[in-house]
Amino acid sequence: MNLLAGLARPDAGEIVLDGETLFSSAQGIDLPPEKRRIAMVFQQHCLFPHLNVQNNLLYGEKRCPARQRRVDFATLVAVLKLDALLARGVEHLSGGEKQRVALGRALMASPRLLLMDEPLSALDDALRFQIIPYLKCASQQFGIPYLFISHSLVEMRLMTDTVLVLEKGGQVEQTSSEQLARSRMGHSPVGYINLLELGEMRERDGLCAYRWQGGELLLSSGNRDTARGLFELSSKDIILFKRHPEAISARNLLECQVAGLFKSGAKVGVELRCGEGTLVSEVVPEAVRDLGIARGSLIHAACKASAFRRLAAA
Amino acid sequence: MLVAPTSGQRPFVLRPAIRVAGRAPVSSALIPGAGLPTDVKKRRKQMLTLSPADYDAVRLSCLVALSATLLSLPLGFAAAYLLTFAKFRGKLILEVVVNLPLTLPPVVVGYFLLLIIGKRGVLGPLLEKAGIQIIFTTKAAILASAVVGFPLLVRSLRVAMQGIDPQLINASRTLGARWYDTLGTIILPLSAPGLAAGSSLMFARSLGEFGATVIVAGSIPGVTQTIPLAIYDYASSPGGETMALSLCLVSVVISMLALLGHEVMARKTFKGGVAWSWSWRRARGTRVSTSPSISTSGEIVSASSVCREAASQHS
Repeated sequence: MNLLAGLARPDAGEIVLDGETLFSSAQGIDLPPEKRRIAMVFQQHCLFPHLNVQNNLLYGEKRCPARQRRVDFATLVAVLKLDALLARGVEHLSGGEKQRVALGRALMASPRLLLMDEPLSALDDALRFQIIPYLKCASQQFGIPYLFISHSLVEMRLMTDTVLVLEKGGQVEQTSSEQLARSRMGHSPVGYINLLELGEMRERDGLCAYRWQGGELLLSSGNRDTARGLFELSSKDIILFKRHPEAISARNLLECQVAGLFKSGAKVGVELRCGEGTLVSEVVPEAVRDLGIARGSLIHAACKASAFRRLAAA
Repeated sequence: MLVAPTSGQRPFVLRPAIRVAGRAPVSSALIPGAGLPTDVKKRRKQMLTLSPADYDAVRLSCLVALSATLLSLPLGFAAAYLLTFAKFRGKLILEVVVNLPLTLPPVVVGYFLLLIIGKRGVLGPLLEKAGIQIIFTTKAAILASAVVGFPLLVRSLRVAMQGIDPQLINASRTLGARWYDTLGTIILPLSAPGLAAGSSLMFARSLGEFGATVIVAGSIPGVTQTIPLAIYDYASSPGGETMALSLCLVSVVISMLALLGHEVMARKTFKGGVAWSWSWRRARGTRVSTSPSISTSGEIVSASSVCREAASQHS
């Protein structure tokens, strides 16, 4: 990150962005950070404590030549919902607000590339997933590509399409975030995380019933105040049945078609098609043989109401 | 060529001359050896009053301390910036040179200044060509105060600058600010409390400056005789204790105000930091060593003539 932004100097090599060489040890080129037009969102918000929110937001814009400005202040304030905060000092913001302002400040500089260095790591889970839609929406709205650094697979899947896996300073893999999550399923203690956006909540017997793919999912972790939400469901929490079990304690039973199977470590991932939705369940190879699971076979999947975890209100 | 003044030509041998003649207003001072005028005798009976000459000393002290502080600000800021953020060869040497006046006796600092700006000093001929007279003028008193107080200013500023999160500086750079832009819009405002704390500390230190001043500026009433020099003057003439005490009290009040200002500012910069308590103790120490020498007045003619004599001999 620091090498890209020009805050640290590489020993050797070349950094090229949009055909412009930013650094080249061979040609002796090393553009200073202010000339690279690469903005950064840091782990800590790094807002200027002596400036209020508005002046923090405008810091980069004032230093960007007028013809290169692409981000409209009013639109940005609306997208990031910052209008009520503009006159405030940055010490009087909550963690999530601070990170939103930091994002806005970086975008206002109209950068060619936005670097985000674990921008969510300082936030708690609830805030983290509240911020993600802002991050995505803002960068899409203004057409600014971003490089997002994270250790969280879930964050990656929500934020990005392509993932570069770095290990010990070198790139070891370039893949899609979905593919990466599947390949890591068998090695991860939490398995593969199914992300579900659920809506149309209504209460039933003390549980929250959300409409999903023509049926209903019963959750005990729903929030009665918000009708929509983003939920996670681990692949380990989905149990497969060959035939319809007559009665089970799990409150959710779905009839699905097997769309595919994949191996990951010692486990087999079963991709289940349920209407338009997809769920991934993980089983051991022995179970695949016992149940005769193959691509196209019909199967029943059950999961408990308490297996869902709410990430954010959508 | 550097010529060190021989003993007997030292410009600060004020004591014998002052002992002979008392400190008095300008009118009576023109007659050497005329003894103490009646108004001085009367005043000595009253407790803790200030003569016009004392007011001159107070005014001069404030002027010298204020000018020294203001003149040092840009240079102090630059030195603190270099010591905190820049990487260069000889940084250690710069650090030692900047802090040297803290540990050197002020008299030694004054002597070195004399070797540099004295008429036979390194820059002496240059200054003379340019028609600039520094030695034994208010300028010299300001210079002496500035050099001696400089490390205190730089130290306060450095503590403030070291407290700035380097990521803030990085953030401003990635947002398109050049290094001098960052310096003006991020580093300067964020080190402002340190700047204010350092300035007040330096101001207080300058008020108490004696050793270096007496060497390069002498003790000329109305020109270079600041409060400590006037107190020394009183203390070295018989019967001047009360008048010395009045000036001492003035000195205490001004210093306390300056240090109060420093304390308020320093608390804004860093709460309970080690460096802060260190600088506070240091400032108190120097004040104790300079001001409370009980003193008496000296006659202006004799005092200034000694100075002029010393100056001409030295040059």
